[in-house]
Parts: sequence; structure tokens; C-alpha cells
Amino acid sequence: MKKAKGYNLAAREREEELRERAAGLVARMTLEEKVAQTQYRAPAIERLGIPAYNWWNEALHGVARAGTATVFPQAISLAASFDPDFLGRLAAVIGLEGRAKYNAQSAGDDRDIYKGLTFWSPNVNLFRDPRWGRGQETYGEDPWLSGRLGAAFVRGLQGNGGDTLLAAACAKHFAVHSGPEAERHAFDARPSAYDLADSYLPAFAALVEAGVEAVMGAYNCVDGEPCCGSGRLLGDILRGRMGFEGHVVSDCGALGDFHLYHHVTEDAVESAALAMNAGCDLNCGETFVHLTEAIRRGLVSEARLDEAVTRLLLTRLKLGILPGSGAEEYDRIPYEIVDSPEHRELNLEAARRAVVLLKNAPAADGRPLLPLDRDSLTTLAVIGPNANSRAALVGNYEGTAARYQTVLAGLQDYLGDRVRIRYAEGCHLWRDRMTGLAGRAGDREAEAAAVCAASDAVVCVLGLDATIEGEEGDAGNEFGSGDKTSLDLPGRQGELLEIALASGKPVILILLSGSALIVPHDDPRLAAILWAGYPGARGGDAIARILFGEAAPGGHLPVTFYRTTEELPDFRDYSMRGRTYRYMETDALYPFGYGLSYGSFRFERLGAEELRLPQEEEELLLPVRVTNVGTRSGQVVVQLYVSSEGGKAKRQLRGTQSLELAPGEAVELGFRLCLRDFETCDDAGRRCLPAGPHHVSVGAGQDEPRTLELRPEEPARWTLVSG
Amino acid sequence: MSQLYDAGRIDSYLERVTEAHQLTGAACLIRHRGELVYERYVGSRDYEGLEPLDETAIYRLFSMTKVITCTAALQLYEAGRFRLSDPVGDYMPAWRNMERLEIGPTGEILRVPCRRPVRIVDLFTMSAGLSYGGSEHPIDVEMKKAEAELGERCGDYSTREFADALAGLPLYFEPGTHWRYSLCHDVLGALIEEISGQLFSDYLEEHIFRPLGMVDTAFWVPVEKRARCVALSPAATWRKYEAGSDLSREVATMAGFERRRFESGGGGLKGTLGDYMAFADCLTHLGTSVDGVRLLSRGTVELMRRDHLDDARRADYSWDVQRGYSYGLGVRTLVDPAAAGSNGQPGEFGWAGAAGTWFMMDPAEELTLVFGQRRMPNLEDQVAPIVRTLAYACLPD
Repeated sequence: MKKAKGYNLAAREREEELRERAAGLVARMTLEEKVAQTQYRAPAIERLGIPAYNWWNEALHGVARAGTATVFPQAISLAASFDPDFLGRLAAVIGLEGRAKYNAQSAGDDRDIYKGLTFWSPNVNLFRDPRWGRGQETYGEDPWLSGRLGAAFVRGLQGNGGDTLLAAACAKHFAVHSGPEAERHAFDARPSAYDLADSYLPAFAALVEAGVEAVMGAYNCVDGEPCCGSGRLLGDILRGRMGFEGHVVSDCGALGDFHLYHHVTEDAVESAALAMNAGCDLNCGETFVHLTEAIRRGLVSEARLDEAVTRLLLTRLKLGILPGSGAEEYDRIPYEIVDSPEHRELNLEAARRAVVLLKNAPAADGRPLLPLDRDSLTTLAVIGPNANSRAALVGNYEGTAARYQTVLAGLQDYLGDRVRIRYAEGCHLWRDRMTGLAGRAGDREAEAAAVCAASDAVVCVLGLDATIEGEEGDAGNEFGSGDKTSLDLPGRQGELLEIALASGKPVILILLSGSALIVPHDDPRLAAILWAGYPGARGGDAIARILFGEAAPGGHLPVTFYRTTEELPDFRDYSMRGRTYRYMETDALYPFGYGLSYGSFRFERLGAEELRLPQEEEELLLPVRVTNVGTRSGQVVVQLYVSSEGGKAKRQLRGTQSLELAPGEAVELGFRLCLRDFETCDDAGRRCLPAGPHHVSVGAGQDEPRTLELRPEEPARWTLVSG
Repeated sequence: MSQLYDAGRIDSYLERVTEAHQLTGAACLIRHRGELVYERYVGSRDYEGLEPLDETAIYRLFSMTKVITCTAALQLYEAGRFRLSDPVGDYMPAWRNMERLEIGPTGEILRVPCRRPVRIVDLFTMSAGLSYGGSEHPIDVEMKKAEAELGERCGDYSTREFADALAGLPLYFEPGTHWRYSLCHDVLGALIEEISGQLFSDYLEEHIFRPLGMVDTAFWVPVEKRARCVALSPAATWRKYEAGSDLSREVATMAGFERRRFESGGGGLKGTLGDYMAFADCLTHLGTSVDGVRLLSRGTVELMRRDHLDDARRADYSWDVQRGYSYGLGVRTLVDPAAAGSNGQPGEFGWAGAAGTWFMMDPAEELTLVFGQRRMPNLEDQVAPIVRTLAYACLPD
């Protein structure tokens, strides 16, 4: 018998069988037992052999908040790889480490928070505004890339569709959520129907298509309805239009927001009812404790509660973590694989791909400054508040690394005794002085100046960390509750950079941050700039190898770097107008997709320039030859963009392929496009094909003037016409 | 016909205080000899500053709830339902055999039995040994834990469940020996339920709010009235949120208006200033409103505003703003106008709310004042003495 493909297991039949078993268990539960199962700290029901289970765990870039694990680069830096296949491999490693930790912890009967297999990752919200503190958790500002990377992460983490889920992933925060952090419990986001369908929802649709087991509703309202209590969002769109078959979990405390801050219900009982009726199955928080009363008042049917609990037990059965549903292969994963040498090696590669080279101007000898020649250096200054910062390696939602290679430690390890490294912290990350007792601001600047003066070159490591950009409740200080108020370097970091530049030494600026910042790109004294995001526990190792040419920088920008804060639209406005590379009207400092390579590349179209738009069900193949015409090996992410003359967006990313080529090496690539890749939405949010002609480019970035000015490699181009 | 003398001074103060303290909105109501002689609302009621403040504005009354709770309890007192000296445990068994905390010579924490029970009068006079929590003190830490457990066990716990849970914690001190601002009146709410056999909110509705026509006063605000609720000023919340940070917005527009089973007798009521004026002016007239609604007898109101503290407890009652005042049955009461720097009369009494509401009652002058800011913490020590001074200064000869 041919088996039908399941939602996220190999076979539909197995999913149905497990669903029946789940329903059978629910049928034997009392009302109180069922209500208890809808809360994230689900108690045991010994009578039915159901152990206690805490649903809350995190694995955004490695198993988080639960002790030692491989701490990969932050999500925004994983996105810089532009490589779904790579991310899928990495997510599979996270899933394995999650299993190994779960096996060890449940063997010790530790079933507390952060000990389960339901990971509330990834975050596929659109990084629509660079000020959002949690943008670092996302895959950037492009819906298509977010969907591709998120889907790959989900498949890898969940075990790529076997008979059992390796772990359960969760797409969050549905449906629209991206700041302001301070107002998230009361905010009402009002995107247009066009933006909702064309920008905010596509990543979620891609994750549902990949079989994501859970979806988390956001805190805020969309169009007046709280996300976790909206039948339109959870019912019509998520389950109806997208075909979601897993369970919906609320963000933590989100249901209390209904009566506390959104003022859409009178009390907690009504809030519980609203969420349950809308399709929320699991509550991170305590509001669902009121379901018993809600059912007594007749606000919720017991049948709806049964459906929710059945979904939750189904997830646990799919994971093989209820008695009799064992996942033998996974149950045998030993603790030894956590932080294994293989995983550390993968983490180094992830860090290399996280590093985006933004500027590499010629030095005195006419060659680009990077890579540096180790033999021509005797002393190197390493300065800046992030130079020896562990926090700036990992971002938020992080695990504990067995070893943190900061930029300073990476350079020290790499250079050993051959080059004398002089280190100065230079300034506080955001305060105006290091020592509160200091009589003047900039109390470490004289030291930094001395260190620069005594060195052959200066590596200046600036930026942010998750203590000042992040989530409401976690991050703080004058930057608001996690969001940035400005894209400028905080505190006295600008002054510190000026000290480095004034030294007259070659300066390499390394930015560690989860979001775009403004940097003095045009300053001729500043030869090289790298943005390394939050590059993970091996970030310093990768950066050292890149600076000295042992490895190639592999990343491209998953977000636009703007020139000013002032040009940004109102943060509270969820219209995409003026935002991101797809709609911005200003000239970017560094465009989305941009990143330099140690190589330089030629892109040649193979075949005709003018082609016919593919029909429905038809696939168009665009062949292109890519040659490294430079003198060094280099990595490049070849990017395909489409733009339609009748479309609202300027252009949209629709393909990526990662290459590493030796000098002179060439490769022929084929990009496949179908009609759907050209589609967009009308004002009512329905899919439609915009008027042509349609343009396609394949190159090292976008086909637009600023990218070509920064990286003058002409893309291959096609024009597609209907008919 | 009563009229104020040069009430323009109050106008300009309201405007000035609104600006100076970034209150964004301030209001003042005055009744003299039973007539409303002053009512003015300045500024806005919402966070954004777009909606004008007016008589429909619903304030979080916070601790001004206390005086209503004490009035309700005194109604039961004068109905002969209890003696002030009765042990609380006679009515609520969880309150029998209380323990208090003692810190031993080497810093160890001991729970020792109390020598005498907590009496009902101790609840009125903030002398029961309870706390408001929030510090690192071992009792406060236990209290926080107990509250969390209660929330977990009951979800939305009731007034009685809360009071019973408090009884399980050790007291700060031997009952009756100190004055400590605390959850005493929350327990009083539970006691009213026990003695009256009514839900606390039902009791208040039947015996206070309905008779006085206080239609907008309750422990929660229905959704359709939420737009009338007063937000806190953006630049005027706890220090942490100052400097116009975005963080203030959520806190300021904030929670507290929803329906909960716990009806806090110490701070849970919301209402308009007009409603509160009806209540306060009734006490100014020693328990019977000018329209003839009787809440309490004359003697009971006198008992309420007597000085109930002994020297030891008066030493505890030492906030700046309390200089010249002592404490009665849930109210401050003016005993020394000179020490208070007050141009008013001894026996003036009242209280204040954490989010900037304040009121005073003076039977001698038949003067009642209700003031409302939208700021947390309130600026009682800066603003109240001036408002009080102005009110007396504006009285006609």
C-alpha cells in the first residue's frame, strides 16, 4: 500500500494512528486533568501513565538556557549565510544535542523548564525596522529568505520527516510582531492587507509547509484582535488557508494581556475562553487555569478543549516521549555528542559564514588591507568594549558554551607569540566612563590612544550586545526596553573609533551587533569594516582566520544598513512603505544582500536575454556561469532577484546559491523559477501577477546602483515577458 | 449660597502643577457647606495627551479605597456585629495562633508564637504586623512565594483566599505594638465578607455605592468604560521609567481595570472623583450626606477620626507628609495644625492614593476636597500641603 505523506512525519497513516491514541487518552481524562494539560507546566497523570512535562524550551541558535551546548551564531548571523541547506544541517545538530540533553535530564527525572523537546524556535518575524531589539532573533528583513531559512531550520530540528520527530520546532510570533518592545502587551499593529499577505505572513506559510509542529501567537493585537485570541488569524489564515496541523501556544503571559492591557475581555475567565475558542491550544502562563470556570459558564465547549489536549498529546506521541511511543533510535543518543568536536567544527564554519566584509580599501601598497600578512606585523592593537566580550558573541536566547573565543582570545590563539597583542577596552559599551568614580568621561581613552600608537595596526571591536538590544524585560538602560532609539554607536564608541583613526595606523573596524548601525564608511582613514553580527562561541576564532586570510568571509547582509536614523519611518507604523530593500526610497549605506569577498567574480548569462514567463506548473531554468576572476579564493552567495515593472516592491530575492571558488575557477549554476516567484498580492491581499515586463538578475547582490558602486561586479540579466 | 474667595488661585495652581511636575492632568473638586463650589479638570487623561480630562474620568483610587473599606467595616461595628477588640481569629479561623518573626542574636530567623491575637482594631489601625511586601526582608520573600503559590493553586484567588494565605505567614511584630502601612485593610475586606455573608463588592454596592449614587465606582471597569480610564503621565512614573523612555507607556496605560476575584480593600477601587466626593462629603457631614443618606452615625465618624496611636506607634507614623497628623481608623487625622503647617482645623481627616489621588474632609468647616493627579508615585508631600492650604485660604469669611 502506498503511504500518503504526513504533515511532518513520513507517513500520514502513522500520524492518524497517533492522533487516535491521543484522543483515546483524552477520553479517559477528567475535566480538571484536561485543563491542567493546556498549561505549559503540564502535571503528570499517573493513572494514564502520562509523565509531567514542561513545554517551554528554547533553541534559537543552539539549545538555550539549559546548560552547556554548542552555541552557534545568533539567528541574524545564521541568516548572513543565505544558505538554507547549511542552516538545516546546523538545526539537525541542535536537535541531536536537544535529544541528548533530554535523555540525560529525564533519566534524572528532571522535567522542569528548558528540559523538554518542544523548542520555541525559530523566530520568523520580519526585521522590518532596524531599531527592533529582537530583530537579532530573526532571519532578517526579507520574507522569502526568512521563510527558506526558517523552513530549513524546522526540517532539520524536527528530524527531516522520519517516523518520529527528533524535536518539535515552533514558528513565532504569529502573525505580525516586531516592536516596539515596551508596548508589546498593549500594542495594536495595523498592517495593510497587502503588507500582511506579501510581507508578514509568507515566512509562516513556508514553515507550515515545512511541517512545523507548533506556532506561537504574539503578544500584540493585529487590527484590534490579540494574536492569541483571533479566530481570523489562528483559524481562517493559519489552519484554513495555510493548512497548519500542529498546536498553537501563546506567548508567555499573552492571554493575561487580553484583560490587563488590550482591554478586550472583562476578566481572566473570558480571556481563557477567547483564546481557546480562537484556536490557542497551550498557554505559556496561567490564564488557562480559568478554563474550568469558562466551561462552567458555558463560554467554551468541552469538545474544543478535547481537541486542544488531543493536539498536545499528539505532539508528545510524535516525539515518542509518552510511554509506549518510544523513539528508540533517539532514546539512545548519548550525552557525549553535546559540544562534540564535530559540532565545534561546524560552529567555526557557521561563524565564518556569519562574517560580512563591508569595506576593504587598498592599503599603502595598493592591495586591499585584508587579509593581513601575519609576517609583516610585530604588534597589533585590539581595542573596544566588544573585543573581549562574551555577551557580544552570543546575543540573546543563548546556551552556555564550554569555551568562548572572543575576538581578543581568537587573535591571541591564532597569532601566539609571533605578534605582540596590546589590548585596551577603551570605553564602556554604552556608559560614558568605565569607572563611576572617574572625574571625566572617556576615562580609558588615553590608554587606548597609547595602545594604538604603540602598534602596527588596530583592530577596533565595537557594537552592541543583548544587554542593550533585546527583549522587553531582559534588556534595558536608556535605549528603552530593548529597542534602539538611534542607529549610532552608543556611548563613547564613536570617540574611541576616532582615537583609533587619528593614530594613523591601519584600522580594521569589527562590529558585533544584532542589527544595523551607522559607521563612517567614507572616512579614508578607515580601511576595513566587518559586521560579524553575534558570531557564536567560536566567533573570535573565525574572525582571526578571516583577518589573516586562512578563511574567507562568507556572509552577506540579511538587513539594510541605513545612512541615518532620521530617514526611518515611524517605528509604530507597520506599513512597509519606506522600509527594507524592497520599499526603501533612500540610498542605503550598505544594501541588503551586500558583502565583499576575498575573490572577485564574473557573472555570465548563458543563453538568451529575453525569455518567456513560465506558465503555471512550468519551471524556467536560468543558467549562469560564475568565475572567480580575482587573485584569491573567495566565497560568494549568488543571489537572484526578480522585479516587475507593475509591482510595488522594487525587487524581491528569489534564489541563492553559496559558492567558494579558487582563483580562475568557474562553475555553471542553474536557477529555477516558477510563476509563483513573480507573483505578489493585490490591495486585498490576494495573490496576483503584477504587470510586466519582469526583470531577473543573478549576481553578488542586488542589481542597483549602490551595490554596484560598492562591489562593481555586473550581474547577469534577463527580461521576461508574458505569453 | 457658598462661594470661594479668589478661587483663581486654585486654577493657577492646577495649571502650574500640571506643568511643573509633568502631571499632564490634574483635577480638583471642593464642596463647602454641602455645595459643590469648585470643580476643575486641567489637561488630558490618556497617555498621548489627546483626550481631555473631565468629570467622566475614571481613576485608579488605590489607597483611597481604604477609607471606604473602613467605613463599611464600621457600619457592621455600629450594627453590633463585632467589638473592635475581638480577635480576628474568632471570625476567620486561619487567623488563630499567629506567629511573628524574630531575628535571633546570630541573625537566624525564628518564628515565635504571638503573645496576643490580632484584634480587629489592629487591622483598622495598621498595627496587625502585616507588610506590603516588596523588600528583601525574609517575611516579604515568603510573602511573595505565598502569593505565587496561591496564584498557581487558585489561578485568580478570592479576597478570602488571599486573607487566609496571609495568615499563614509570620507577622513582622507583636500585634498592636507598631504602625506599619500594609495589607491590613485587604484582610478587613475579607472580614466584611465573613461577617456580612456578602461578597465584599456586593456589600459595598448595596451599603455605600448605590445609596450615594456612585455609579462609576467598583473594583473593575467594564470594557465599554475603559476608554474613560485615566492613564499615568508618560514622564511621571517610577524613576526607572523616567526620561520619556518608551517603557513608561505600557506601565502608564496599564492594567488594573479588569475583573478579578480578589477585591482589594486596601487599594482595588476605581472611580470618578465626583463619586468619591459624594462619599467623602458624607463623612464630612459626620456620616449623613446633605441629601440625607446615612452611612454611619455621628459618634462612629468621630471615633474614626480620633487619634488611635500610642507614642510607640506615633513614632512609626513618620512620613514627611504625616507631620502634625496621627492615625485613626484608616484615616490620617490632624492633631497639631502648627506642626503640620496647616491653616485648617484639628480633626481634618482623609487619605491618598498611590497614583496621585488625594482627599481631605473637615467637619468643622464643612469642607471636602478631592484632588486627582495621574502620577505614580504620587507627589503627596509636595502637592497635598499646597492644595490643602489653598482650600482653606479660599473659604469665605
